[in-house]
Amino acid sequence: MNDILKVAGREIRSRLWVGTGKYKDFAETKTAIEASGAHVVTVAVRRINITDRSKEGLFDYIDPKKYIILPNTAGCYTAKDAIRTANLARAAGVSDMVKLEVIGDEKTLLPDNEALLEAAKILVKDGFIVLPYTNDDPIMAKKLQDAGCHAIMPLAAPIGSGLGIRNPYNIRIILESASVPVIVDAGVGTASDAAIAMELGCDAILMNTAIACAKDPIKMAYAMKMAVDAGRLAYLAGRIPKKLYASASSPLEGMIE
Amino acid sequence: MNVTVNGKSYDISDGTSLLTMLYNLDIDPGRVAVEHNLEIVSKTNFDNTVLKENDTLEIITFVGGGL
Repeated sequence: MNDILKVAGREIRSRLWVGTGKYKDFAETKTAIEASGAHVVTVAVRRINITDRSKEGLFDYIDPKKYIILPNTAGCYTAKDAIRTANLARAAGVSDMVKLEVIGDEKTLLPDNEALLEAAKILVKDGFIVLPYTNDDPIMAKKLQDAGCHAIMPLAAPIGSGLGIRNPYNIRIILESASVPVIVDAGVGTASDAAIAMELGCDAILMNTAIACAKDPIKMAYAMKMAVDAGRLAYLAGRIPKKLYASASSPLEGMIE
Repeated sequence: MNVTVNGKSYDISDGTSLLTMLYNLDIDPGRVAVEHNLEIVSKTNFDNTVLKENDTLEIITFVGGGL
């Protein structure tokens, strides 16, 4: 089946994208990512530990040649910090993509859309492939798209909440008007949430906590892979309309008398 | 002379290049990005960037994280 996802013209071999945080150790991170089948892996940008160099790094386990590395600006609360972080990430030399996050508030971790749009415009102009994490707000999605963002990443629910798709109707409106990929980012809790997002027509899903904090992250990674694939297939297959009354699936002719 | 690296003070000899500093800190230059007094230094310039008294370096890498 020819169903290739492309972001900024680049072929992406999976519709499940994963984060690399909150795992027990790097070995578990690696195994879970392999089980998820993810081709895109998001990573955070932080100061290197200079006092203890004995520690292994993420890239000792996650080969940047094997995956598309998507640096994120998680933890940035201003456009300035997010731009600075994105530039450092690009200078590290593994990716010119950025999952742009400008967080508005520590408690909700919801985006600061005003600052997000400001940062997105600057980074697009500077040649980044910009994938902004935003509210499930169709107007904001439109503004980010018009600013030249290469995908839109609306949240399903707050980061790490596991609440699933809180507003499927907004996601549908975003999908209707989007000409760039729509990738649900944050809030998925379990496999059915992922399937619902894909059945709506989303192009991909990025998740971290739902896998990393499951009792068995490896099993959940595989469950999510299957859910994303199943949801995508169901979307392409086209579901039946919902009806109030029954409709028999066996023939009415030839009944015994 | 004194330089600050990721918020920590270091006493280094005059004329130390950024590349030498990274090696002294046991850091693989291929896996980091560096800001020198808030300006990003491209990897090709690590060798010819000479540190001066009171310079500030931010050395970053990628760590596990999602959102």
